[in-house]
Amino acid sequence: MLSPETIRLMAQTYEEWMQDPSALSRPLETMRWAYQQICAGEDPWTGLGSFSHAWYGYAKGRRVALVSEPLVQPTQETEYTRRWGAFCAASVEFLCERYDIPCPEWARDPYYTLPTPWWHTQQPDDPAVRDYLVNSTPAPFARRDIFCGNRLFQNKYEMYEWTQEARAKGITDPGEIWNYARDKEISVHGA
Amino acid sequence: MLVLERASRTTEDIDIFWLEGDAFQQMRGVLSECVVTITRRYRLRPDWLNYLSQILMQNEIIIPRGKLWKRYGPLHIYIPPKAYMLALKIMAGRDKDLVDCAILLPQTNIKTRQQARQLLDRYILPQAQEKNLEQIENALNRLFQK
Repeated sequence: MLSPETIRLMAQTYEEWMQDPSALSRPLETMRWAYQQICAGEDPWTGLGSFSHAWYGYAKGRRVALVSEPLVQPTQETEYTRRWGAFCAASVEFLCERYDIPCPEWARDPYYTLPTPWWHTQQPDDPAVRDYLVNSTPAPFARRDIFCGNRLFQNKYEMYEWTQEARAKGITDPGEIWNYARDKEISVHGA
Repeated sequence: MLVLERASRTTEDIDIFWLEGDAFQQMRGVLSECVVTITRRYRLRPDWLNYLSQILMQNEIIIPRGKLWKRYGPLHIYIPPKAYMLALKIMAGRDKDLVDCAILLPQTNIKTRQQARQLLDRYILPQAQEKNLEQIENALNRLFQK
């Protein structure tokens, strides 16, 4: 196990890396870009994961720009692209609500409500799994008939910040630091 | 590391666990210089080399001995066992982690919920399992029949 001094140095080094100005000149991995990646055949969580890194990490100061552009519909819409388009719109509404960013109009377009429920699980026919998903899915997703549970955008960036926040408040016990961060996580993400 | 396991998605960052604390303190300057150089050269995100998980989890898990994958001078890179990666993904329990679990599961000997629990016991400390109980249960429910 690393010593507290090493952990402190690692945290400091990480903060220094985040300050590198080169991040500002990179193209933003916006939600529109993520959806384009999905429509181009990339695994959905490749684009969404990159978007998530931008949202919580290097571009968290530019969140409006990350979600403002509407999605570009693919030339040939399929059930798959329709579902993931709805997922992207729901994600934007969900994230904007939680981080006090104005939700762009395009995300509220009724087109992004699915005609039939999408059970986002490997066991869509299991009644217990369905019950769990119905009860745990956040409203912006459920309203669009997407049932995916509530562990979608939990991330290490926020958890790290909250652990730092706990330390800044003078909390030193690792268990208490974790509890502090976890309480914050539940208050933001619901799980 | 899932990239090595032929995952369908590319990685967003490289999660590392730094194994030698003293070495980090000694090599911090060189490491930073290398990371920033690579970030700029390839226009990567500044967090492409990421050890936040280690900062968050080091009190919660048992880090297994990895298999030496590459050596670059003093830098030795070890690959963890697939079963360990699976255990961490089950504990994380996010949607995308469950997708990764589905890739990893067939490459391990884990077939049942009980075996998955034994796996968690091997790598995740009891207090961490207790703290993450809800997400672990949810992940197991979605990966295995009850």
